Amino acid sequence: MTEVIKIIDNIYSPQYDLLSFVENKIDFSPSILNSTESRPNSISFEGAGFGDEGKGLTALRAISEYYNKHKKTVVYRRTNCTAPASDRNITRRCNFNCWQRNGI
Amino acid sequence: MVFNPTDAVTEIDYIVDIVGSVPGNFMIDPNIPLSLDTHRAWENVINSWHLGYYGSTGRGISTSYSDEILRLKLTMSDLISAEWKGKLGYHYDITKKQTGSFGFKLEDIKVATLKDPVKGIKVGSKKDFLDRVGECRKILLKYVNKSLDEYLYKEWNSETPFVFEGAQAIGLHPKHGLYPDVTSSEVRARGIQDSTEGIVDYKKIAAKVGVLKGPYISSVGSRTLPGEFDIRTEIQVRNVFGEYGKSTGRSRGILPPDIPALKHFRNVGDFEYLAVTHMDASFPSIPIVAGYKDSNKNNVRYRPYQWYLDFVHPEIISLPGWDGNTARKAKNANELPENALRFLAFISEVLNVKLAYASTGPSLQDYISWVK
Repeated sequence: MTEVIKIIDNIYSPQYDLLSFVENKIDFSPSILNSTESRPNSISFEGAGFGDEGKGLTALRAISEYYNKHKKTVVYRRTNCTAPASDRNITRRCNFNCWQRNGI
Repeated sequence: MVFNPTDAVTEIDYIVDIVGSVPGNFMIDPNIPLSLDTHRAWENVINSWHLGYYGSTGRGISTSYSDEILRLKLTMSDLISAEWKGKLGYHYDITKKQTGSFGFKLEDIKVATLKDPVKGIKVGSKKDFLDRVGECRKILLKYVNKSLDEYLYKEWNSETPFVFEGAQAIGLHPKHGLYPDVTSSEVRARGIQDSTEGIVDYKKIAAKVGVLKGPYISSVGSRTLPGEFDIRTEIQVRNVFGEYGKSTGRSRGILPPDIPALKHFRNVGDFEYLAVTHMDASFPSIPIVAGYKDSNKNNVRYRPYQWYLDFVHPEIISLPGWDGNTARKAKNANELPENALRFLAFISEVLNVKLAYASTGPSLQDYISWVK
């Protein structure tokens, strides 16, 4: 609680550097290409709440970004789901793979 | 993941209606477990006894998973085999005995379908059941690909972009969710590794993104969290953002962002980046649950047990709101309302995770990216 209030006090103070937050972009693509730690061009989405967060649309945006950048097929794989999740993500831009082994 | 052949055919029909054909390269793994109308019937019977299962959607998910534990699982490979009628008929007979032991006649039990979730259909006789599944079998056969693992291995070891989307959420995880409103499967990125037989090492996925609603959280089921909105705000948000369960149509509970709960999900989740959605929601101020206190006024954390949460007191703080319409028009981060930016900075810092995306509306283009 105290820690949360400290963060609020800092971020909502006039001295907080909001511009820096706006401009502090994540550099995951270039750093990945130079790394053996990660597999380039891969992204996963998981719900960080109680579901229905908008994962499908968020994933679709990532599919579009990848497609626009690479102009090639994107492998899109949804997991743990049943119908009717993510219907809108079945587009001409991606291989739509519906598989999951062992019921995991 | 489990697979209902009838609903899959309905989904295919929807897609064909919209785009004229099934686009891309749609493949079904022969190892995917089946979730049939019989599973839904069995779940309905258990639900009717109110001995548990309150959190279920009536789609037979938990009963399908229980078949796996009981080693009675049927998979797509069973459905495409020459002996499919015998295998599914045996499964029908077992379910008939199960439901009969509770005094229900399997033939007469109505189950929801994707095509008709409210009225549903009767399971019918064994012949009806097999005929119905058999019709779906004919349609689905061509999509079953026994070489999926080779395809996956080849593509994963190339530069082909991969997008993984896990359904459900950490708040619904069978171990970390709030019982009984939990799912049956592994919802985190690590489930990708399990389900691909290790071909995809989830730790090597370049960006593992957690997705959460920003100005509020929604929750379907019987769980009760300590904080709540006033009823007017709850109804307003539910109507404006269509907060009703997709599968069941149940009203979603609308709650203030619960920082202790979100921190817990961060601690047990696999994500390293954050996507915050619904930033076009407008409130004069945003109440957040900043922390919990016990009856002795000690700070305590979130734990996923209703008996525990019933006795903690929420510490609510109001943060300044912003104009949702302005947020929706923003094309770049610096066009977002100042308080929306501060809120995003707060969520990112309090959960100690970098922000990757913020969504500002329902269209494909309505989002701000923090990715270079």
